[in-house]
Amino acid sequence: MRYIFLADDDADDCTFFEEVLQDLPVQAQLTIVNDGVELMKTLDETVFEPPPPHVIFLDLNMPRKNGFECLDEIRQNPRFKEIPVVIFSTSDNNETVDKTYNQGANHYIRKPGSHAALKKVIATVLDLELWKQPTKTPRSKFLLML
Amino acid sequence: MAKVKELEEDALTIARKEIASQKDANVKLVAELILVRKELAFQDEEKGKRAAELGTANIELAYQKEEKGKRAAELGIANIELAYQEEEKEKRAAELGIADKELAYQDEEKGKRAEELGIANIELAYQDEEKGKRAEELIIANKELAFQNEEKEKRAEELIIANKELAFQNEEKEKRAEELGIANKKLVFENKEKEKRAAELGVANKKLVFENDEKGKRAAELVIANKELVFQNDEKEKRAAELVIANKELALQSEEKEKRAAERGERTEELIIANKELAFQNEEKEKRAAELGVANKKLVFENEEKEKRAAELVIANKKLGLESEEKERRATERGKRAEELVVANKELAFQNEEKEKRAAELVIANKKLAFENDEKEKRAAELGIANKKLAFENEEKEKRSDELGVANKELAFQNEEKEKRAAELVIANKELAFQNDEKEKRAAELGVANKKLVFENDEKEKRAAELGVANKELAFQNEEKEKRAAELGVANKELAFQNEEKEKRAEELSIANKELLAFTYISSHDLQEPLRKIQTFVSIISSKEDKNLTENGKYNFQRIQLAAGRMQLLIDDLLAFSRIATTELKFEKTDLHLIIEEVKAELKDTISEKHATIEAIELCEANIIPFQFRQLMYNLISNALKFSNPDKPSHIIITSRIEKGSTLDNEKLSPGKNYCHITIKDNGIGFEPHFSERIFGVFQKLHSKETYAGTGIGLAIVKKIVENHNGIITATSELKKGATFDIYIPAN
Repeated sequence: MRYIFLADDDADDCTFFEEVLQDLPVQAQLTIVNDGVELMKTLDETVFEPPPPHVIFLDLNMPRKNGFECLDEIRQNPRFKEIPVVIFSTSDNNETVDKTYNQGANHYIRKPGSHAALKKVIATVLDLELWKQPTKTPRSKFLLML
Repeated sequence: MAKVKELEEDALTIARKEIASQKDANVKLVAELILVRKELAFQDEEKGKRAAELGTANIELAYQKEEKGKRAAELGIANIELAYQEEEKEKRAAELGIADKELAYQDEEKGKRAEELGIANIELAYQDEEKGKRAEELIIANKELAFQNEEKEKRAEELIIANKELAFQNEEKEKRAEELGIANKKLVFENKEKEKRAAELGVANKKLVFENDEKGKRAAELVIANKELVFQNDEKEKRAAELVIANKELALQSEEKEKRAAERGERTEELIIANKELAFQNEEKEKRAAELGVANKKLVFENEEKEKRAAELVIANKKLGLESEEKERRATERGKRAEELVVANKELAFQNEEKEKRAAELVIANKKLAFENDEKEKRAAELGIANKKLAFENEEKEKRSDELGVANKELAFQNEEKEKRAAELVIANKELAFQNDEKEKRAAELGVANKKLVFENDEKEKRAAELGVANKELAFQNEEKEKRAAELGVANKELAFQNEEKEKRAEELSIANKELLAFTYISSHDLQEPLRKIQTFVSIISSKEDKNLTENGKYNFQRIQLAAGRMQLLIDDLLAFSRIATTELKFEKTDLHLIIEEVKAELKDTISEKHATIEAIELCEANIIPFQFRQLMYNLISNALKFSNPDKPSHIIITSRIEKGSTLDNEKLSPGKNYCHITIKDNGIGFEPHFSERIFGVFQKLHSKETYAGTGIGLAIVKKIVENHNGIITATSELKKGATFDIYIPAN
């Protein structure tokens, strides 16, 4: 069982993600939160039951508390700092990618424009089994290309 | 003589006072000269410093001039560049009505340029102020120099006057010394004459002493003669007494005879008469004898007096002799006196001889007195007269000898005084001679010092004249510089005004651009989400609802997917383009290999699909914005792959090297600068040469979207990135013969 968190305020994107995850041959439990405040609250409350997530897919542009703030808080908090974070954003401009890489995100995915591509990229992330690798991703492999 | 001495003393006193005052004056003048020399030395030092400062100031001015020249040249270049950029802007504005993204860059550049110009203007203003200050300082320095030169000239004139006075005083002293020398020679001559006279007087005194000795002997002889006379007189008195006794006997005999005569008669009367006559003769004889006795006593007394006088004369002569030996001048007078004494002595001698004769005659007369008293009386009377004369003459001699003694004492005193005076004069002359030597030495030194001073003053005047000329030149150069600075100031103000105008325009354009870019970015970014959803939903339908769609429906969904894909490309490229224009430019030394490797990794699939080989050779490090350059390389390589010749495998050669602008045949490059020259050469389909400019335009495509996908933004982004690196890019190609892109980025 993989415990996966998705923080995204876009309902469509959440639906797409959920559908794709169901299609994947992986036993996964998806927890969706719609903004950063909710993410941090949920993370705080669900450390023991349910267990901490294997990976967090983090949108950047969210209301109340955006992805950058969440990433900072997660990496500053000793309890969460080992949780793999994959940025999941519409934009892939260099500055943003660099910024999140420096903040300690594990990977960066630009939201793809097709169901198949989305499926592929989520599968790729899950295949990486980031929770087993505490080492930092090299910059060249940070942005996951399809 | 006393007046002469007084005059000489006065002259000596005045001469000494003058010498003393001249010494004081000399000491003061020497002190003044030392001070003047010190002042001159100090002023020389000050001049040297001032000259050094002026030299430094000139070097600084020259340096500032060079700097201004450079600055003006840079401004000129900057202006040309600005003009060039403005032209470029206009071209680009024409090219790109919608997005003046180039202007944004140029605006930034202008802003920087304007700041640089502002700084340059402030520097120029500062340099102008500095020049003004320097010019003021130079003017003050020149005034001070002029004042110092005037003071030196005055001092030099005063020194010349002082030297003339000294020379005049020296001449006067020399004259005075010569006069004193002559006076001394006279004194010496007079002293010699006096010594001769004293010697002569000594000889005369010796003669007098000799004569006095002779007189003493004569006087002693006269004393003996007088004793004999006294003895003879005693004998005569005895005889007279015997004669008296004889006469008494005769009288007794005569009484006897009268008695006898009475007895005899006649005879008796005759005898009485004869006796009366005898008695009368005896009485006469007794009277005479008494008179002779008195006369002899007088003679004896006179002889005694003469002896005393002679003894006194001997003592006086001895004294005279001693005094004469000490006193040597007055010899002529003494000689005369001595001659007179000689004459007097001769007279005395003659008188003594006469006295001796008379004494002899008296002896004879006394012998004859017994018989002839008459003769004695006469002789005695004559002797009395002669003695009186002698006494008178002796008195005269005493008076003379007294006078001579006083005269000799005076002479001796005068001689001593003269000798003292002569000794003092000798010392004074020696001192004068020494002082004259010293003065001559001093005058010679002063002359040499004056010549040096005159020479130094000449040199200083020359230097001052040279400095004056140099200062005038400096002043002229300063004026020229000020004029040029003023012209530059005017030009700068115009430039500043133009810059302000440009800045205003640039600011306006910048604001417009930012708004535009922000709009572009936001719109592009925000457009992505709905587009992605459309794409995703279409993909879900076409995969999951495939069976429910007609063939036409399926085709239409494919068309939606294609259009959406194109739209996504467009949005991506527009975002990239706007990002290139808006993001911060961070230059880093980067190895081009790394960037090319990254790009190759990114394009791995296409490369293998196209069977492409990418050769990266001779790559150098370059000062670039890494992520932009990655985009550039990505665009160019993907372009080369896209437009590869379908008939042969794609071969891309990338080279880079540092080259000098002068060796690169492009007029937009500065000949003196080094450039990193990057070439990307492919063997693809190429393009017709006249498109070499057009391909860099936004949305410019040479092929239909059906044959080659793309938005026509890729090369525009490339050009934009090259411009962000202050470089240029050119494309050369011929149709079907591949294309070559040359990029020139300033190295360092």
